[in-house]
Amino acid sequence: MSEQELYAPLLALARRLCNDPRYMAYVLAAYKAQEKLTDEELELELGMLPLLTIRLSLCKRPDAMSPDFAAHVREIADLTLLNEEKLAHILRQVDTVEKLAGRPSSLLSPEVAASHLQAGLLAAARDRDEESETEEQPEDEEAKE
Amino acid sequence: MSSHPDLKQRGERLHQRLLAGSLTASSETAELFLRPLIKSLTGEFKQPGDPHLIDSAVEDALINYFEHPEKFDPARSSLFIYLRIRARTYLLNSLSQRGNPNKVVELREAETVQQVEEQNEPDAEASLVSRAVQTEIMQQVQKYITDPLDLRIVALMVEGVRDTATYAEMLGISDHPLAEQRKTVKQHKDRIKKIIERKIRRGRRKRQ
Repeated sequence: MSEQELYAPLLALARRLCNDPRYMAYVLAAYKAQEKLTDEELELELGMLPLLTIRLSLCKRPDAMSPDFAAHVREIADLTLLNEEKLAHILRQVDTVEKLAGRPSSLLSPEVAASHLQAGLLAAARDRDEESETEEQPEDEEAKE
Repeated sequence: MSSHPDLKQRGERLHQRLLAGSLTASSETAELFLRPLIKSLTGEFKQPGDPHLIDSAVEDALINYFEHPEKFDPARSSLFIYLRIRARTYLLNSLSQRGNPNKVVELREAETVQQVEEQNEPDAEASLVSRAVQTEIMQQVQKYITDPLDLRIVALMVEGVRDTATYAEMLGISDHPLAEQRKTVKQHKDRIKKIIERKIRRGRRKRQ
């Protein structure tokens, strides 16, 4: 199975969900717009594997006001190997901006949000092969806690 | 084509989790079924005109299911069959509207043909296809993590295993107090995430 076959359908679904505030795809696109991040800067900030970024996009969005917020963030963070604090920060920020604006945080049109996420995820997917060529050989794991 | 129990059981588990409010179940369901559904419909509709029609129909079926999981009745069919019927109906509607705007297939009508669809139950190959994402993720992780125990922990994490006991057993701390198990498991997970994050960032910075 080619990489394109593997990524493309999931990416297309994530792109559709960029317009829906109930999904993480929307949150990532909104955060990127709020922070005026380029695709590369967002990738750098998240420090995530490309496929896991798509996986994150397809998760539903935790409610920052819910008493289960921390548990929900942990569940998503574990499944996507993402830093919990980073994910909670992004969610809270997007939520706060939405509340201040009195509407879902669409600082960007759905079309723009969709194109931002698509560009970012495609770039991440493209990077995968480059990484395997440029990345140093796996190092011994850092000292365990 | 014989039914593949692995895919069916995994679908049922995900469905229960979606109903229970899991926020990751939508993503896991998409990974599990998106490609097998597209593959199955592509086998039936070899030339739908616009090649994106099948993809869109499957996306519609999944999005609709995520919003209304209660409409799926596990007693009547597998989740794969349910999603296939929905996607097939959306596809037929798209095709009909292109040829004849007045001809629309009713979803309810389509669901009565559920039994006919049983022949389209996914097979072992579909199950393998559904695991391709998981396999690819682990291949990518192996560029950053080499410790065998850490890799086993990552495999559990990306499979969505949540219970502390499984990790505690792997770490050999099952006899420790539960609070300590939880703390140790979390420390291991956080450390692994940090290693991956740091190495990915380092790799990206090198290229910038």
